[in-house]
Amino acid sequence: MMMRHIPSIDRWDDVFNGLEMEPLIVRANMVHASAISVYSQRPIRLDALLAWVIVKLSLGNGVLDNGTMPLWTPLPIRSLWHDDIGRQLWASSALTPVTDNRDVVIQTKRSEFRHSNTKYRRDAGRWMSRMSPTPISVTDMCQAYVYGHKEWIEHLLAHVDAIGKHRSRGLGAVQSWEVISSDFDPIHTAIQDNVIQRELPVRSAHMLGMDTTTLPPSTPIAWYPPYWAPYNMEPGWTVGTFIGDFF
Amino acid sequence: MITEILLTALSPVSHHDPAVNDGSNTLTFLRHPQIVNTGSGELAEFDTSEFCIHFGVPSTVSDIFGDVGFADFVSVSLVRHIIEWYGTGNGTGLFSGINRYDMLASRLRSCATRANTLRGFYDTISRDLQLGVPPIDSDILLMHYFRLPQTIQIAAIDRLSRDYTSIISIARYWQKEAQRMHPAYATATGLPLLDKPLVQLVFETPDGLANQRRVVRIPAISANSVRHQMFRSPLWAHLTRLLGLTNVELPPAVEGIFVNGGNIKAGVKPPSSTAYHATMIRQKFPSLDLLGGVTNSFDLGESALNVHAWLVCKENATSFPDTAMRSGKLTNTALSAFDMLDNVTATRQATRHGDGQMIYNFETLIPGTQFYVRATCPDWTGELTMGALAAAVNEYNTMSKIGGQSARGYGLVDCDVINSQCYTDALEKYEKYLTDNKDALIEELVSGHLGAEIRVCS
Repeated sequence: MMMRHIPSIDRWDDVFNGLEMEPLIVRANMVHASAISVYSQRPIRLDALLAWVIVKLSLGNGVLDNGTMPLWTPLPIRSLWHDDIGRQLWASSALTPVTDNRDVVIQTKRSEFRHSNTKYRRDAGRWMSRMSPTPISVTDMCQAYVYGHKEWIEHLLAHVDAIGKHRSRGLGAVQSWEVISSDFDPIHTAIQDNVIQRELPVRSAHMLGMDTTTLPPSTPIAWYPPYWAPYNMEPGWTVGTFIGDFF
Repeated sequence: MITEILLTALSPVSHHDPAVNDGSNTLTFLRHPQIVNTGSGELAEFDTSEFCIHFGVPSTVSDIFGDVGFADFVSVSLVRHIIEWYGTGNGTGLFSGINRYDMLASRLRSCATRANTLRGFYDTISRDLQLGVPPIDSDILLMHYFRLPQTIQIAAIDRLSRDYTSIISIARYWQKEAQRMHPAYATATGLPLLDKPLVQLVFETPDGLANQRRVVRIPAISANSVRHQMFRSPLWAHLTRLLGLTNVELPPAVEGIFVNGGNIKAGVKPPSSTAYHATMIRQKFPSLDLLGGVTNSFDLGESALNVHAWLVCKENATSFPDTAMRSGKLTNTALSAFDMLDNVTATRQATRHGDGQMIYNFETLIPGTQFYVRATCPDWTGELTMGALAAAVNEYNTMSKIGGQSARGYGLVDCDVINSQCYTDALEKYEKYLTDNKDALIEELVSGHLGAEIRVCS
């Protein structure tokens, strides 16, 4: 497998090369009247958000093709590790709710067709009216730790007005972003208090100083944006995994 | 690119919670949980023992409250008193007969959902259960509940709305054990006398309420519903009008993708290059670029439009951007959402044979209620797509309604665009695009291609 390059995205290399990086805390101050939809197994990843902005700014109104190889996406973030084809383990933790009040809202979907033929049922099957329970979290703020360039991260996040699932339907509205200079070791973006803060591939464990013989069992994860892409999947550990007192 | 729209209700707004099915005859307005600042330092001076001293607990019950917070104790205690005052003999009002605890459970949930103070809760449940006025001795006890800090009242009501079943069980057990402390009751029932004194519970701190920020279920309008009524439905009406589709028969999946986003057909394998086909479709139909959707077998990808909708009220006052606040048009930010609620009783007439008569209650928001709608598109959104957004807002102005029961006159709103970013030109270009390509677009719809090189909808 090789890394795929798109020229309009590659041009960001020149922008981000040589930038001075620093430890930062990124906060998404949420609109109080807007809950956030996020699944614990699939947290919001800050590097994925920034990569999304880079891709959108690069492609304009276009969409990515159906490529089956990882896409090189430069970010203004320090890399903790990279694999042999050049995927970067960006020094950014997941963007997690600071206070986590779980609940469920119901979303409905109804069919009111007037122009199509009547050979379908509204009470069953494909065109049935539906109620979809959507898990939500009510929180003031989501927070992530990142080792990167403050101004560029602020600039890119200004394009993000909502986070989480179902953004188009009113969930996850962000009132403002805060990027605050802090003081921590880059490795803390990946592991804090023996708990994994971002997805980590098994292959990176030795570099991060972890004893692979005592680690919990791995599971298929993605660790490089886009996180949903099958070609980015490999064995690793999810956010929130407790890795014991060895680190 | 942000479009801000203010909707002001001209008739009552009905918007029920689809998840509620509690057996009561009251349909409550939709509520969503959110964080609310509930107090102004009142908790710092509040001592829970001043409350607990009036509500001693039988020794056999006290351990139940070991792990629960003060708000739980308040909610159980109040329900226990309701059972005590009205549950004697065969009960009072609807709290009578073999089903009285089912009645109590359904009304507890409904009343706790509708109230934002313990006094309001007590009023509502007294009315809904037809309880009447309690014994005169109870007045002093009620005052202790009504005087509690607002933060605690809201927390207790929240417990009542969610944990009403277990609260009833604990309250009923408490009441039984309290009765067992009376020798006459013990003798009459043959139960052993409980001769230990009442225990006064101690709650060190008001269980996590110190920061006065609570998650409260506030009446809300669903952005999912607004997205449909304000954007998707008007855009489909606009498209059918400009293309003259009134008498054209379309495949259900074609209509589906415009009406509600469509549904993937079970078991269908997506074609290769779905991204390419999706791009072609989004370019051919800018309204689908704006709103997204699915074909028979694949998703068009992320829609350009994010819709957020909030009730203009005191609880949401911090949610609105400065631009909206400065417009001076959000006039209800000093009113509580709960003060804008109203109860409506409707009837359905019986047939000549007396069948089908029904009386039912539902909550509405009163005329004058305002809803703030924020529609955002990213900076890279195409001009025709922005034109589609403008067309939706224009079309919505001709059919302005929000929520349900519009056939009965509910949900009529005045639509005021308080901030839009120069899309008049985009609207003209979008409408010119539709009229210039009318025949080709109709062909794409009827064939189910939607602009793709293959048939994607059937």
